[in-house]
Amino acid sequence: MFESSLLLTAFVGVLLASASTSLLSVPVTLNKVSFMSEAFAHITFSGIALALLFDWNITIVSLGAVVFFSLVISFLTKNNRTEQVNITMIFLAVSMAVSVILLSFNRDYTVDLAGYLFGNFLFMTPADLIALSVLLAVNALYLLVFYRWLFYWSYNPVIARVYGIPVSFVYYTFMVLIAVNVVITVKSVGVILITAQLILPGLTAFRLVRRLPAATAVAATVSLTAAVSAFALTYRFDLPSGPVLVCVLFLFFLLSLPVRPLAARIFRRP
Amino acid sequence: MIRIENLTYKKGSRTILEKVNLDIADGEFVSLIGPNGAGKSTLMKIILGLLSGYEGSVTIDGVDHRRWVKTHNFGYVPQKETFDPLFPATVADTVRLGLMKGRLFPPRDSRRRIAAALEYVELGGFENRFVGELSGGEFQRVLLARAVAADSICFFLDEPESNVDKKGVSRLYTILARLKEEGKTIVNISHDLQTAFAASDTIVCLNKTLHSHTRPELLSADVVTKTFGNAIRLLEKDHV
Repeated sequence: MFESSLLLTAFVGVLLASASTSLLSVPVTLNKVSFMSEAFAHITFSGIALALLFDWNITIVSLGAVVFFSLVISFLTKNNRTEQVNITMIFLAVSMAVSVILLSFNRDYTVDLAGYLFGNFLFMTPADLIALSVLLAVNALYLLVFYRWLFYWSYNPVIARVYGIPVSFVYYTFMVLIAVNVVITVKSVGVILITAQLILPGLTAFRLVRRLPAATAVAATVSLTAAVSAFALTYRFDLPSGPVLVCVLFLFFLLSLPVRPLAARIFRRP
Repeated sequence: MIRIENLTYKKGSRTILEKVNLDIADGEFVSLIGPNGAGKSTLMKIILGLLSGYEGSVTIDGVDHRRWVKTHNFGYVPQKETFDPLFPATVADTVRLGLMKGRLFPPRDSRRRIAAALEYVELGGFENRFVGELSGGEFQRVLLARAVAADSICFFLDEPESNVDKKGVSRLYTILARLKEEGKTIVNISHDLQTAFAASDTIVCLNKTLHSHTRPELLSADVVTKTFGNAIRLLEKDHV
């Protein structure tokens, strides 16, 4: 399968991207902040459009834009769940509108925009592999160090604050981390589908297990298995890679649905 | 000692608390009573540093309360601790929060302290149960265990009887009585007057302003009626 280094780079890239997002999948699912990642993804696309217009570095511009706006959105929505949804959705729509306007100024792009929207494993470069490796290390380290704080913030932020957990720090750093993950892994499934890659492994894991360490392990396994399967299907049938990965993840989620009721039936005490 | 001086708190144009002065001594079991919307929970949240934008001062042991809560262990049992019942938190996870103050990781002896705190509230062996599966009374005792595990010197309880059956309330107050015997300060908001009167050293009648702060046996029916307005009908003392 790996007769070219392009394919090998793509394969390693999608594995690293899947591993990175799967680590955040469990806390994203628990906190129900998938809509935030959706907004960050759309802001990323604005950054891509801006970079293309002025021929700037796409990753640096989109990273700057998404980190800045993730902090702005987080600040505006910190203490109000209803406002959080509304403001985030406004940013989502406006950033997409801005992207389309920016793109309309120059119609002669040589870059495949669909690849950024829906992902393309073959877009991965050796530089991306380095960025993805660093991202995976940062995610793992963040979870290792701040796991308890993140857990109690997710459980009940007010009570966590009463008992001395620095909830503002956890909130802002976690939002920025999601934003950075969206930008760095964008070539895997694209800005339109990135939310699915962030939440489906976690959702599937919670259908199978309840405890967090186990859920994180299951989410990572599901994500990596889906990545390998999607890569093989894409290669074998010449399909669009990002959508295939999302569909495989969704299939795993569907397969997980009957597991708990079945287990309850099998292990039910007489 | 908790000292509240000239405390006024407004929410928009509405005055929630007005010129409240109150001293709570170390080791005192004080119950705050008053009708809904009287500002009892607001007062407690201000003491705990959860609300800002008030006039007046709140000190604990002579230190500004916001500084005190950052450096001292205390327990808080809210009126309604909202969480997703499907959230994958166990009883041990919940109690462990009491040990996390200023720490990234729980202390080494956390397992032993969690077990001891659960024994204290008569929930020994509940460590691995998920909190979403507990009854109202069990959950309230878990929250109390969280405060016990923290080795709190002060306990703040906001209507701990909510969603708890009569037997559960009785068990809860037995534990609170034990804490009081050990010299802990207990600040309790209650709507169960009978139980609160029996358990407390002093009763604070609050309805925007402070109406009374006295021993239960000295509290007159007039003051209670004035505090609650027409929302309460006092029965003969023997039946209260």
